[in-house]
Amino acid sequence: MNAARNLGPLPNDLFLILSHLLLVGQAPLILIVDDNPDDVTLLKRAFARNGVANPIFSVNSGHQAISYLKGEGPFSDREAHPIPSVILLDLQMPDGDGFEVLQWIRNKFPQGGLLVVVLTRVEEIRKINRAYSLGANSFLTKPGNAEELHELIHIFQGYWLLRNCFPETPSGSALLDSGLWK
Amino acid sequence: MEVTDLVLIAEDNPDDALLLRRAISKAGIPARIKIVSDGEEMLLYLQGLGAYADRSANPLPALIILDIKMPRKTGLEVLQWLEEHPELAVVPTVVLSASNVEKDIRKAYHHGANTYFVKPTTFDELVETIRAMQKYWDKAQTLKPASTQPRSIC
Repeated sequence: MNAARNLGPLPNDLFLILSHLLLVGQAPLILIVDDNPDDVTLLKRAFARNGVANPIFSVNSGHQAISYLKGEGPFSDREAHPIPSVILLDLQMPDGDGFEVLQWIRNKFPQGGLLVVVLTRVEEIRKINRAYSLGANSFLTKPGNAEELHELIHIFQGYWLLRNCFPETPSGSALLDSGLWK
Repeated sequence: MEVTDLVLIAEDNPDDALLLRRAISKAGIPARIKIVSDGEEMLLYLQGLGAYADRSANPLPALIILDIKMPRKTGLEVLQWLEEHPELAVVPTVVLSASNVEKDIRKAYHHGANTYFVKPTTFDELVETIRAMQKYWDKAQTLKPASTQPRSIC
């Protein structure tokens, strides 16, 4: 536990976080798509312990992820459920695999307004190739313990949240107008 | 596909290329680095044409870093070419561009860039950006070299 705490944000990181927030105005929203509630809890804890202040939402199936992105049912209030900038996508879920979600996203968001990082236990080379072919921005393997997850999220933060430039997320109304939701 | 530890970089500005080399060296990256001078050169490299015909000496890269605004072929044209070659989809592409214009960012992602970074304005921040890249892609699943032995930077 102590070793993990030492990996927390350094003053240099805090400066980066603040300057990034000033530059981008609003912290990119992260959507976790994962059916395992323990993994979601561990992930959220790892983000919190790394000092990640970005809003984080989670859904527990591929079907829910698509409902969320469509703004359907419990997700119909777009202000309460904004389009995320980056999705952390598990591949193994009971109601159809994450590949379908990935394919759906790349069809509905052809302009690349939404980044998808696969985070899963699968590490078969065939599935890694397939994820990249379907347009995943990156492919991460879930670590075996909380300490390694903490370190992975630290690296994720330094790369995606503090340095990467996210395209503006499409607003719900813009998508409706362009007919992308049909 | 042959698994390598090569990072292929396209950068037309010789000063920026030199800074990149220095930053990579300072960041202590244990990978082989090849810098080509523009998008067309990068396409020749990826196809193994011309001076790059010897694949054993010029292996396919594990990571591509490219500028957007380059002569002959732009970074976007390279991304478009990569889109037409799905067998290379597993090689991540990192755009490192001076532009922070939304249109450029969106176009790059639209054509399949995996990441878009704005070129840092200071050398120290460039070193930190290179370190963040190395740490991240070391963890991510890509074409991993069989051996992670440090290699000299050429």
